[in-house]
Amino acid sequence: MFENKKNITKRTVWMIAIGVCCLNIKVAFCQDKPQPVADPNASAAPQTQLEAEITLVTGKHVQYTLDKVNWLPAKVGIKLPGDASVRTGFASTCEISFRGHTVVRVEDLSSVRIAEYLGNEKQETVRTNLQYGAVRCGVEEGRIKSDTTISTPVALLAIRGTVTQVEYDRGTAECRLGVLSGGPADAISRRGRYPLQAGMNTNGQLNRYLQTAITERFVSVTGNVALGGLTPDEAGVLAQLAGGSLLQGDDPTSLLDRVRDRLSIIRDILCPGGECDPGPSQ
Amino acid sequence: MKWITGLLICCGGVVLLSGCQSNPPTEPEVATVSLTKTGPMDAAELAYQLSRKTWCTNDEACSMMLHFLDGEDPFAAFEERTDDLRQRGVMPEGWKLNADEPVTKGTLAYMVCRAMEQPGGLMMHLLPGRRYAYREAVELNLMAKGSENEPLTGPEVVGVMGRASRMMNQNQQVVD
Repeated sequence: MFENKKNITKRTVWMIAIGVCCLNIKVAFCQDKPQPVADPNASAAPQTQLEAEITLVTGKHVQYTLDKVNWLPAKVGIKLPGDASVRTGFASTCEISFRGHTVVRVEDLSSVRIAEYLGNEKQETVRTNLQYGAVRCGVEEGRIKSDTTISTPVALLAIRGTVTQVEYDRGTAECRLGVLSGGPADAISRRGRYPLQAGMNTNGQLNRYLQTAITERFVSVTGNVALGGLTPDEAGVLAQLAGGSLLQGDDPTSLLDRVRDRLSIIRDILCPGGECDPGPSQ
Repeated sequence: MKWITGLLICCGGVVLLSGCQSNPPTEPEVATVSLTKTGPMDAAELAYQLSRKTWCTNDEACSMMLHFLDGEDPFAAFEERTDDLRQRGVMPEGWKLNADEPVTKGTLAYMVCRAMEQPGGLMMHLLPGRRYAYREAVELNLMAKGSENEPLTGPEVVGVMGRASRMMNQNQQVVD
């Protein structure tokens, strides 16, 4: 009897051990194999280096450089690869076209560097640095996906489907962002002629709009406005600059929130709703 | 023994003469824009050089003014530039400026207001000079608030002249 009980216990232990082994084997074999993560951009062709082109030169003092040393007189048709720079003197402007989807107009007494220009059939990336002076930039919306930015040491402006003006004063480190609208320029489509408004698809009339548009309102940006880098003191100063009242005993966090709100208003002015109305286009 | 003593005295003398004087602090070298050495400089190049420079001298400011007015600076010397600006009424007769001194906000403001033919206010008519010209320039958003006696840096001069030029263009555009 006692021996029988001992055998039963032994068998039970063996059965449990075999069961545990089977479970382990099942877990090992039935585990889902890691699937390769699908890259959303995998289907898109890789962006390659492209060259911008000078499409308009006015005045006598427009120069470009490809090596940061030798400055040559700029002429229409000259190709500008990445890292090229353009500078202008008084009463001189230069228009740089990025395949017609983005047009940058370098205003008087300014210097601009093309940091990067990449693209393919469906999208393009334009990175320009405004070293001093002013630029007007128009980005077409509709035909391809454009990612255009103008950077200065104190601010970075991303433009999507609209026309803006950026001024940067290196002496005072002040950056002014202007919204252009109401320009007396017309565009022509199948429906006929229509007045251009900010953000409209211009179908090749972008450069004309850049020449004739009048700055309607400016937003000044001074100092460090990278939200992550703002200290409470900076936030207070920026709140004052932006027109907010700084009261004694203000909570720095609420100040920061107020500054964030104001910056979001600025962003809304520059590109309402994040997406600009394409307007009538063919 | 004598020559050892002499040698020690000499060494002591040298040490005493050299004293505790350390090397004098060397001032950081400020790059200057040569307006004449490399021939005539156009406005784009002058602005580019000034934007990398600490102070803007009276000579460079006068050269910028000539570029602003005519698009070129044909003169080689500071005196020729000031004479030309005086003849045009951009600079008053009584001013005595040194070529190498930093240009002040009042000096540049006066020249810019004259070049842009800004009428200014009553006080600018009654007491034409740096003080009220500077206030006019601040009012026009060409310069930041401060004092008319403050010196201007190279990048500041480029900023002021660039804004003045763009303002002239925009006014012309509205007129057209």
